[in-house]
Amino acid sequence: MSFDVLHIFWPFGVFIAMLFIIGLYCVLATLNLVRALIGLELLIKAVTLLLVVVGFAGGHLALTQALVITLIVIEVVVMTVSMGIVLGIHRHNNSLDVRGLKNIKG
Amino acid sequence: MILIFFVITPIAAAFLIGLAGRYVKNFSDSAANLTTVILFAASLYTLNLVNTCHILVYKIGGWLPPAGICVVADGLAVFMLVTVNLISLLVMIYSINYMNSYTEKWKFHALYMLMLVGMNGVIISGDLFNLYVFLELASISAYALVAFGTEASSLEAAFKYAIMGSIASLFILLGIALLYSYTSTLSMFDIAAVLAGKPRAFLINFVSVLFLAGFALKAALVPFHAWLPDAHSSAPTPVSATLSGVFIKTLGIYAMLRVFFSVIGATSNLLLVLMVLGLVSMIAGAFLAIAQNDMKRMFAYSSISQVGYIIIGLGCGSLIGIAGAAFHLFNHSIFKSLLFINSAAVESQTGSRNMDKLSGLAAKMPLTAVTSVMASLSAAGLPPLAGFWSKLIIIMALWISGHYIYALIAVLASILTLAYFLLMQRKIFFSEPNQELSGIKEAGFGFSLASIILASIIAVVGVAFPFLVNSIFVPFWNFLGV
Amino acid sequence: MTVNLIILVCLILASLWTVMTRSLLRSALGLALTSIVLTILMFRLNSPLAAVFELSVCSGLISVLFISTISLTEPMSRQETLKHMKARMTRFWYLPLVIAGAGAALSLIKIPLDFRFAPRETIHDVRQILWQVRQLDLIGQIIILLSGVFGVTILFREGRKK
Repeated sequence: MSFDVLHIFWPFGVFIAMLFIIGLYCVLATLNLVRALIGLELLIKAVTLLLVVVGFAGGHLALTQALVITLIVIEVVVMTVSMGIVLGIHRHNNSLDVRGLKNIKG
Repeated sequence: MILIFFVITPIAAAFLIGLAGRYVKNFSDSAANLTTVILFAASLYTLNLVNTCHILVYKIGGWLPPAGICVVADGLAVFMLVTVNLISLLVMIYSINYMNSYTEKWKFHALYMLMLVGMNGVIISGDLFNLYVFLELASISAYALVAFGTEASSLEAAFKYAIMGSIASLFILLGIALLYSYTSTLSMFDIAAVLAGKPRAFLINFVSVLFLAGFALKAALVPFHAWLPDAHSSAPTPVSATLSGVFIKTLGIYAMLRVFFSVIGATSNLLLVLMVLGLVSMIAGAFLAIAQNDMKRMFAYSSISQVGYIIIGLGCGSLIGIAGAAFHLFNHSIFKSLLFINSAAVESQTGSRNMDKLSGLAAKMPLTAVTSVMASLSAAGLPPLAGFWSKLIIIMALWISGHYIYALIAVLASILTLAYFLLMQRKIFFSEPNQELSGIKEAGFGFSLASIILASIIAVVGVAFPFLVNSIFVPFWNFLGV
Repeated sequence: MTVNLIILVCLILASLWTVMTRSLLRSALGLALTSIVLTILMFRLNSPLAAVFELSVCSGLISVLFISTISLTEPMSRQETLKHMKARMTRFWYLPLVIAGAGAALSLIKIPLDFRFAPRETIHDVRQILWQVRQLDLIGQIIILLSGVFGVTILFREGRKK
């Protein structure tokens, strides 16, 4: 552990936290189904960046790159399945508005 | 070596079903049933193995941590394996009849097998990132299975579940990445060893909060429960039974227990938070359940309430509390699956699950009525059924550790449970029969077989409990290192 | 480090634009842009292989997925968009302030990070780590892809028999 490493870690940590807040806000405040998925994507981006920074700071780049590749594959599948669900919802009630989801309650 | 079997067998079954399920009639049913029977037998064999050698570790490909992956089974993991595979076996038995009303049944079986891979993987994994991979696998299959009916309601519930579940997984992954940055290893043993050698840093508390939020979302504790009633009530009933019976417990409670008690180490603040979360879930779930008139929604809220019991048992932090929590977890899996099977039987015969429309079914469906009464009484904790003993242990643990008020509230919540289940029984089974509901008979063979097996487990475990104490408590000693 | 900081600011700006722009299509493009900026950053942090994956999959494949979803679901009429925009502004205008505040607060506090980095790893090859050391993760990936395939195919059919 050197001074250099912590020096690089903290600024990245601040920006990762900001990115995470933006994504979470987008998921929670939006009224559009596709936009909620975009917010989810931003969250995943934040975690990806964190993994890469951790690998860079600790010198474990081979392992963290393997982890990031796994994460990207998982991300694509999650997005595909949820977009399929969005298309299904659109087929049923012809709208992407969250307020149109009448069949579910609390 | 046997541990890898729990992952490989369902994968092979899913591949085979994917290849041949479309063309060969009844192939998917028989393959799925055969797989779950084999897995249940293997889990019993592993239980026997762990009783003699206490802990099983297998290094995948011979690679050592920190980069290599180990699979590990100790007493608690084997206990979960037995529970998960038993419930999935019974669910498969009754889905033979139930799933006939859906199209493309083989895809249901293939996805179910993949979900089983995910759950078994979460249980045996000894590596945090690998745990995340299996967690996502189980979750993705569950999102798809909730949407299996492709009605508007099930699609919307699946979307809500997908968003909430993904956020939960990301919180967990963020915690894992931070822990990895702090300790430079992913193996649970190594992380625990590194953390034990250092004073507790601020970062670890932050990571605990992230894990707590993630696992509480997965386990649907009360401030985070919004997805559960929708997902459980609009999924096909075999899926609801699995989600409610073992899924939220494997992904939420077991993983939480593993991370907090074997990796990070539980502090008194954490235990207090767990107690409060458990208490709130217990009370709020019970009150919300009273207000429902859809059977499956009521069972879903009841699951929230019972999960509250399990969490409050964990919150004691003592050996007896954790043992009681694990025992209640097993009992809840059994009686909640039985209740969901009964609701499926009622729904498939009458076409409705609205409690206001159903009446007087006890004379027409005697087996369903009797088994559901047994399940309800076990849920409410009436002696001598199985649920009584686990609730007794949890309340005793609360009393011993000095939380008298919590113990009192747990007893009161138990009375509430009895109230809403009796209300349901009176409305559906023991009221004046309605003219519209004539000509109804007992549901098919699969339903009867599964509900008889589950009801007899409830009765046998309850009556024989005093003789079983040693065999149930002993496996936890090596988990806790007592 | 200065270059890294500039790229990080670009990343935050791109993601803010993604969240706050009014048209869905532009939002999807903003996501692709965020992903590209992230790729540059990953490349600068010595992770070329993961960066290529991020570039091809996240800014390529996922953008295609988003754009096809958006074009399959019909766009809103002009007037509705305007009405929507006003409602959106009331919910989103303070987000940049929140982000700036959070960033300032986080950069002021200093949390002691007593990390213990293990000795540098013995295996330097990503391929070996991915295919041999973490076999179980790889199996998990393949199975996740399989469950994704099944999951998507069940969504586009009639659920119940007539």
